[in-house]
Amino acid sequence: MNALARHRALSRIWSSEPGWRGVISTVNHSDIGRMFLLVATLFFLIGGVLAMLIRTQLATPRSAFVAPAIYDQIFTMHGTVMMFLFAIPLFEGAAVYLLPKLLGTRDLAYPRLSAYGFWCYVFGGLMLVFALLAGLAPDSGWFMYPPLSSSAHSPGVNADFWLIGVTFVEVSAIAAAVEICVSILKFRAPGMSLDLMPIFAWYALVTALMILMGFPPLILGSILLELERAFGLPFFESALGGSPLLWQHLFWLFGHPEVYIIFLPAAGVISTVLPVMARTTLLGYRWVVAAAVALAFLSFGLWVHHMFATGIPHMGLAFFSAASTLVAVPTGIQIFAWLGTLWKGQPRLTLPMLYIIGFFFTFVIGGLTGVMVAIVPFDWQAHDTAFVTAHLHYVLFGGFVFPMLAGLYYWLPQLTGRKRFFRIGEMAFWLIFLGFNGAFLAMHWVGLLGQRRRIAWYPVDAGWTAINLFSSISSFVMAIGVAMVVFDIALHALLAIRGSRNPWGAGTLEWAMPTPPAAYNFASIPIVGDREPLARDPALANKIARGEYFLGEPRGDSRETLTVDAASGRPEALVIFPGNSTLPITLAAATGAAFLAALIRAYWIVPLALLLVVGISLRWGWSQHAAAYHGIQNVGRATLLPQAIETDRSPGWWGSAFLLGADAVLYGSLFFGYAFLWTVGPNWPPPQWLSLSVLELAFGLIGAAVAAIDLHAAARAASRSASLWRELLIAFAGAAMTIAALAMALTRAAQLTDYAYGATIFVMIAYALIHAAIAAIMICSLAYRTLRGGAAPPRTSNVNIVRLWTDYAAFVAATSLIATQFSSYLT
Amino acid sequence: MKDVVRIVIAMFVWLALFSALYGLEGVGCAAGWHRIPVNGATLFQAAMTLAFFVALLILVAVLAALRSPRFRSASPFVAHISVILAVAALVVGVWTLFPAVALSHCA
Repeated sequence: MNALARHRALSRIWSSEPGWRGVISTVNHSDIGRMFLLVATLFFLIGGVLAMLIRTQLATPRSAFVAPAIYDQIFTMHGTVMMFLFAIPLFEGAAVYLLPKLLGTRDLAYPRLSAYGFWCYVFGGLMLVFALLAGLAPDSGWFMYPPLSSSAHSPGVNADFWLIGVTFVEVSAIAAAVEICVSILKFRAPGMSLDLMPIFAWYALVTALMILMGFPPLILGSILLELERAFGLPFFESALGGSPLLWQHLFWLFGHPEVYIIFLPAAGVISTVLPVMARTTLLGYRWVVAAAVALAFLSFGLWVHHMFATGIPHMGLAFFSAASTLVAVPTGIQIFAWLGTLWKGQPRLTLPMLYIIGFFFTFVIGGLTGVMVAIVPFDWQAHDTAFVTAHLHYVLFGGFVFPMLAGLYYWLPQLTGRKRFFRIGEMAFWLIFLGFNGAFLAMHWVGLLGQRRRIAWYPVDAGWTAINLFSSISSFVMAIGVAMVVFDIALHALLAIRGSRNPWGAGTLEWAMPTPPAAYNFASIPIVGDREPLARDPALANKIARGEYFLGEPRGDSRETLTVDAASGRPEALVIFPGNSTLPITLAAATGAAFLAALIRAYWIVPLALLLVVGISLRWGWSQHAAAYHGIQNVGRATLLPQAIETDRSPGWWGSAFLLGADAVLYGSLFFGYAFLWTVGPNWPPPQWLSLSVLELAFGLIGAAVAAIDLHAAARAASRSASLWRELLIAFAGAAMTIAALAMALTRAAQLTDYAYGATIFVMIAYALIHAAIAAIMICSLAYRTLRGGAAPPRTSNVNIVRLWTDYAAFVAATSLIATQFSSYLT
Repeated sequence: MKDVVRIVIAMFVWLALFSALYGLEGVGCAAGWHRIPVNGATLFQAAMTLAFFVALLILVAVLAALRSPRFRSASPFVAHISVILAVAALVVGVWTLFPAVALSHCA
């Protein structure tokens, strides 16, 4: 088969459907990545327009431009849109589009999950946009502190739009994070060991792990606050044993890592683009990887530094102040590695490089003011002033938008296959750079003079008028620059001439393919022996196209790729991906129906929508199962590999493991909340405790143990190809016992929910009950497969996945029952 | 996947210890340990100081384990990064947990 015939065969297999049907049914990572990037950019423009409205309002004192109530909605939505609908999705889009190309594979680990995450993001974002247009947008600030956001002070659905819409969007972030983790660890080109991974992949891996650890506390907080608003469960109400500080802890457990979740991918872009622009390699690759990992963990030890003004004991302040100052060290290591790279190379002043210089200037200032607000006495002075607003914009705009614009112009030829022709970008850079610094340097100043954040107007005699006017004019200059970037990109995409394949002379794999890239990325999956394989072997692209590496011969309609050992990059298994499908958008719509029903308080629809979600999920799993058996396959270069789904640790198992990791963080956060209210919350102990029920405890614990033990037995039986019926029946009986015990406990806990203690144990037991039900459904699904399987019983990997979920459900049931049933003995 | 664990374990242990000491401070202050005298100090000071040294001991043990032939990665890259991060975790531990010794009160 020659290269052209191979291209045609692979294109037929991997391409999305033509027309609008292709948009809703595509599962291809390039399509999904482009759609993510496009929608995130639209939200950036919406957030930008909101910013301009804010600056218009503040340009003059006592401005009558908008009323305070509308102004509250505008600044709340500006923060919400930029953080949840622009920054994180833009990273997801970049990662979804780029990672398979950088890693030398044909798609991400779960193509349908990519599409599902994208549609959840779109539907969740639309909910918030609708709220904005209808004048029902959230108005309590992007961090939604109770009691301001509680139903007493924020009646109406404004706050509910935030809590439910943002949680829906976070489903997308969790899906993307699971996908990115498994893809980076398991879906790489053969030979690409951990030390040969492109640096962007390291940053993306660290960021995805942070999302899995950082988002669950906010999801939990949002659920608890919505339960309080909708049903009166008083988690954050001091008079009833709750505490508003619990929300702040849960929010900032997410909120501070969020800053680094936004910065780290941008740092990955800098680490990728800057060496190419300097015509050298990244200095201190190992130190940069270590710094990124250290920064990720340190960022989880800083959350209380947003709460320095809440009256926390001095020792607590000192812990978090010390941790906050330390963040400068790994950040500094990266900055010096980049400066060293410039020093050892031969830098060229291209447009991406201009944005990188802009990044250096602004981000270092943002970092230094960050160290200032990490010092408690200074923070007490600057807290809640425009100084903090200026600091966070220097960090986020300087640390994210500048690098992402550098990345945009760097990868634009890869995305479009065109050569940059128009020179609008340079002018746009200067407008953005000067406008940004004019707007936010001034904001530092006015903040130090005492101007508070989130104020709709200020007095004429405050002495802030000229500074605010200058800041507003500068922000409009910046907005013109952003508009010019959009115009430049549109001209480029529509009118620019065809360019060469690797215009920058880069060494990474995304340039070893025709541009714009084909749907399958690589005609054959290359073998990698260097961090910059294309620099080592300039003929690599042609060899790939000639099918000289793995999977160079397309078979039937199968979308094939390989998995590798996570550490060494040794080929492990053959993966056959599902084709185009409308299941992801259907599942996202069903998920959205559940969220929407909760929002409009049509609670009877919620269980129906969730049943639909379960049904579609089962159909999803079964359609995967329906793929024909392939056994050991020749994947090229005389290599025989099993199909991934026939191994013990399939991609599905790894995805489940990472998802359950995030789930465990949510559960841990719930335990943290329980302990926090117990030790620190006011008005504790509660008037009434949940009494011990030996029956519930014994039933629950024995059932959980039986289910878990029998699923292990089922996994052993599956590996011997023996019958699973007996094990599955007993495991289901165990799960049913646990469900019954938890249901009984839940009924008793429901009588105590007018106090924070009862509300908390209600949620803990409900959480365990939901997981026990999921395990029971999965066991039933496995039994159904056994029934239908005939000569082809459920694969070992299927049983191992159910075993993993059942183990977790058993753990959760046991710990929840023990923690709640014995609570009265802990006083 | 064990190599990934080797890379993240030291900082993960630091984060767990950091959270544990912060939690211990909350529990101690809520339980009134600062009002219970112990050999010229208070129970709260004794508990926090002990926790500080136990935490450092654990971080030293992690560093030693990652350097030992039994747990050291076969990959020089992973071995190097895991040791860098274990040393970093120890330094971070000393710096961030030092208030447990220097500021043992509930004001």
